[in-house]
Amino acid sequence: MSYLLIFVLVSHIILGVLGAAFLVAYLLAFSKNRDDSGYLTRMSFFAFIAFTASWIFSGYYYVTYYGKAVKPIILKAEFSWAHTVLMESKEHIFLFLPFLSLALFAVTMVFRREFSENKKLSFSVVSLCFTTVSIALLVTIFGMVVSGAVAK
Amino acid sequence: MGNKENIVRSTLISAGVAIAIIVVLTIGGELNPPLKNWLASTFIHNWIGKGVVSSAAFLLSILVFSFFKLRFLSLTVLLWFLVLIANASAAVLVLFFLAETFLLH
Repeated sequence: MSYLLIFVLVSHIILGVLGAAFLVAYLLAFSKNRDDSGYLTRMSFFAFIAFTASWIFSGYYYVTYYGKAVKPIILKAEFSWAHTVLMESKEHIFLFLPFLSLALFAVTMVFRREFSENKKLSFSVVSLCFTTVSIALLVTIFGMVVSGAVAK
Repeated sequence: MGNKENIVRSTLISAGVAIAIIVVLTIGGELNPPLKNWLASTFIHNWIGKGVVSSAAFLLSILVFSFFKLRFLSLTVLLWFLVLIANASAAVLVLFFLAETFLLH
């Protein structure tokens, strides 16, 4: 594997985890009723940028290397379901993240001043953020299992 | 402000539309190989095709919905709609690939 592919592979993981970390920071600030609305907007924007960049890096790795070099090894090995279930699910569920984080950013940017007054709105915003983080973590866990299956 | 609120509502609906399109293209492509082949031949790789088509649908949907007055739609309901679509879509994809791996083959 070339240095470019290693860079791309590692970058997509770091960016994906960073995206989730920005949203966890968003949730923590929300739970502390932090009235610095610019902070929430920034965290959701950074998460969108991180997930989108991760999408581009992972796409390059997946299209140029994974399908040709990694997938055949997994499919021939004992844990072929790591590709047919986990990788297939992960690569498509991952596509949700930029849309979800962009939606969160849009709501936060325009309606942030209503969060502290409108409990129903704030609970639904937190639910969207929690869903996005959960999906990011699910994708990360699936990726770890797929990586483990390559060595078997 | 009113226009901004309308764009936010359009964005929430469009994110749901884009996620639904990803699910339809993914499952449709697995059950109907010509669709998957078309995506692969048109966009280099079927996965890229799903990303491009869903992104295009997302942008088009925002454009279309931004022409409608969406103030009658509760923001809270739209947020819950997106949460429901995202969770249900993730579950459907995992269950589909589980079934395809262990039941259909």
